[in-house]
Amino acid sequence: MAAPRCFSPAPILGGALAGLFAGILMGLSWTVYSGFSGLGWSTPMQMVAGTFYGPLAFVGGAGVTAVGVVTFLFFAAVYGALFAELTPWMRSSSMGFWVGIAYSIAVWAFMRYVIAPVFNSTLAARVAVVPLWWYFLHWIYGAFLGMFTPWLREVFAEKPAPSEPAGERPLAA
Amino acid sequence: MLLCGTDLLAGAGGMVQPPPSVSRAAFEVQVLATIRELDSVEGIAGALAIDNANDVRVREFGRRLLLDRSAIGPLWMGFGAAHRLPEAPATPGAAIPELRRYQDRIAEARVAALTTLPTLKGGSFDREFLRLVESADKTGLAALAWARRQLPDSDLTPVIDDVIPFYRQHYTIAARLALEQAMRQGGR
Repeated sequence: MAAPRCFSPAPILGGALAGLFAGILMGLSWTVYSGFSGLGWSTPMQMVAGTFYGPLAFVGGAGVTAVGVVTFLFFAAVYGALFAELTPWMRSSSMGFWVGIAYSIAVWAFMRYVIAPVFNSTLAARVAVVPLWWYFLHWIYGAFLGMFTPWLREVFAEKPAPSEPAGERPLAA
Repeated sequence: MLLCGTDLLAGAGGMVQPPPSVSRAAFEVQVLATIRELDSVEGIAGALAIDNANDVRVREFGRRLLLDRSAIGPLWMGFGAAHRLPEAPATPGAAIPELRRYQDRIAEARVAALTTLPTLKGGSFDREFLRLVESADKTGLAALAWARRQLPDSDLTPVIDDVIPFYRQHYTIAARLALEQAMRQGGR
């Protein structure tokens, strides 16, 4: 009988942090694009906050924008943790780049066709006008998520204690 | 009471085909003219709200109207340019009485935005601004819903589908803020 797999929070923690970093880069790209194209610097995060406030998010001020930022980064971290859990075999950042992009396409499809229409019609209506850009934004997220995850998973991995180096542990107590 | 999307569209009338004398291109020009009129109302009113609104949320709404013009404008202007349609119809609403009625009502809102709104200040500005935008957007949404039903297979249909959610959101914000203002005043 196969031994049960021990649960370790390290990969999930590393993935969540990678998702957070990738989410920050995606959010910055979105904000900069929106600002320079005349749509408003805070519009993207207000759209995210539309999950809770509907269209009134656009007149809610800085507090509502902050809610959008927190919501956005929370989901970025959750998707990152899920990615890390799904790809324990992935060890290199170069492979992670491509796997991350593939993963981001799945995330984009889920957000575009399930989450946004059901939970945030304010966002859904507006990203429908710039579909390619929103698709590409998810690539940015996925690419960085894939590159960060192996490295951060390594950082958070449990190291053997110095007094008990790997392979030199006594067989029996 | 807030109206949902279906309530708004219910006022748009039944299935009335455009008169045979009106070509598809002429019909599309009239629809674009309706969007332009609505865009103009929102632009004028929004700019005034940034300077004159009393409530910070109303001021923010005015800013939102202007920002969203950057998103909506390329959609309908791009369609007009791509199909080489004239910028404005020779006669507003000519030969399409149904659309003409909507256009006239939006034009009244534009005139009010140009004449009445600049004379108001404080709370009275906020009330009139919200009433005007709510009324114009409601009429515009009904017009677009009607127009969409007339030409379901037109290239213009996706453009209408893209702009309707923006105007619906503006309508919702205006109606909600007006309701909140009314409740605040009623509570005093």
